[in-house]
Amino acid sequence: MKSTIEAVTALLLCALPLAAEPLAIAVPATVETAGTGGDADDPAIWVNPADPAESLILGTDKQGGLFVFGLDGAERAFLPDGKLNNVDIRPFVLNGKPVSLAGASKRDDDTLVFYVIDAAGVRHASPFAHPAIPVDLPGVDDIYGFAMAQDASGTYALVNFKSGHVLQYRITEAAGQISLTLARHWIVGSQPEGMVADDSAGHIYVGEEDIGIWRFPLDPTLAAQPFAVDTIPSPCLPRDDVEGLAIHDSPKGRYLVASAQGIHRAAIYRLDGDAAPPCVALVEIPAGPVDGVTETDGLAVTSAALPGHPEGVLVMMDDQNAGYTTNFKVIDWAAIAASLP
Amino acid sequence: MRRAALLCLLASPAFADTLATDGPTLTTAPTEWLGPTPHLVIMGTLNGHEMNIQLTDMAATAVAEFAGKREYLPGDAGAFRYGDFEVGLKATIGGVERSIELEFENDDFASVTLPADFALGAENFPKGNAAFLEVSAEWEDASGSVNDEIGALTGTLSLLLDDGTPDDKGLRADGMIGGLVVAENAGETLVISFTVPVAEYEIDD
Repeated sequence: MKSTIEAVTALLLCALPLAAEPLAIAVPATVETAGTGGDADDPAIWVNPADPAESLILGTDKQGGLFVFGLDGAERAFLPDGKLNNVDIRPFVLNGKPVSLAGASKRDDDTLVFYVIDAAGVRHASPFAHPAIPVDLPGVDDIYGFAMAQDASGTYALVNFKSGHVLQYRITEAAGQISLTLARHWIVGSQPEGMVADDSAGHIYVGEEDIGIWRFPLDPTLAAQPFAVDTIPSPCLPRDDVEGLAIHDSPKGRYLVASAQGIHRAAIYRLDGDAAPPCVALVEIPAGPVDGVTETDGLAVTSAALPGHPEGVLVMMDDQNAGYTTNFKVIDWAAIAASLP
Repeated sequence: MRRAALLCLLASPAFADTLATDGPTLTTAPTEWLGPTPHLVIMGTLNGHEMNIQLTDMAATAVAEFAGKREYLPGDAGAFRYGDFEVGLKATIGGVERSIELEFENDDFASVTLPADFALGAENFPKGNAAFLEVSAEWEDASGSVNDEIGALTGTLSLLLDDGTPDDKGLRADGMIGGLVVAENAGETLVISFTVPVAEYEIDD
């Protein structure tokens, strides 16, 4: 039935006259990570402030844990911590020292787990696991997407559930121990997953997999009033799913990047304050030095200059890789930006 | 590429594609189940792809994985319903690594005495002698990526073999599942004979 609907939809779309439409861009990946034997899902990029060449790519394997890759794609570590779905990173202060804090949603037991990252590597935070479902909040079920946020009021863990709930936890630290306090919660109409916070603009973007992308205020004292960014079907999201979301933030421009999984593309939306973000491009990652990208779940971007990538990189999960594996592909953002309208 | 052209390209099935294993021995699709020795024969057409897959030597180097999985659903009073089984193949066919998965659903396959015929239809987890079949096919080659999920095929599943040793919950993670499928979808016909060794079970909560 799904294929029939998709075929009819595609035929109708093919019959439509050409209108203002996103630019089609094709940029091959330059590097790929080692294949994961399990089922890769979501990446995050840790930029080493002291030595960008030693930056890391974290990648969840929702069958078994967290991979740590170098920028060359080689596996640096694997932490067999369970069915980790999504991962994200923010700067943090632990015991008075600046570190980075990574968090992930864990599907085995509906918990959030946290890692400390610094030049020494990636290690468990203390405590490592935190229950994600409050005992006094009925109906919250089946942990799924995860993101982190940060503004003047603090650092937040955002977690969503297949039940449609989105919970915003404030993360605090005392004597090296982190703790979570529920700051706000709301619900969307169907299964969400991808989320990202635009810290500087004060926005949270939530993807509802079969519906589209919503924007909410980041400030937990405000009501979670939704703003529709894009709705399936649309020129950039002609079919489901909406998957990973990420923000590329640089003086040259600010963009929301969304995985349009059904068409194997990254949709690029130009951000301008509170204005409605137009989708300006669809990026295909064809075969090049490494194989192409298909059926992406999670993705991540950084605008930090990295060796060979002066405007940062886009990292996309690839569902079809040699040896029946999944992995992550690294794409030069400058090559994408050069084609953006 | 303009959007309309891009979408048309993405939506177009690869009508010229043919998936054929080396040295096929059958010249026509089987009319009977090919027996209890592990095998997978798929002949016909699926979403525009001509299929002539005849895998009878599962130890062949082209076969990376051929395994079945049962899925159990919560039932009454702590019991489980046998609601789903999968036949998964990962093999190099025509020089391309391909993944093909058949997923069958019924309210409780354990409630039906074998051998039995199930009418294939659009309902998920149907009761009695009815079943839902979804065929998934994925591969990536020089012409691009294929990610087909064809569900709600019509036709018949003849289930002739489903054995294994129950654990302390009464659930089976071993044994074999075998049968014959004669299915149709959007004017295409697909015939599948399979016997797959079961490697695991999963409880869907």
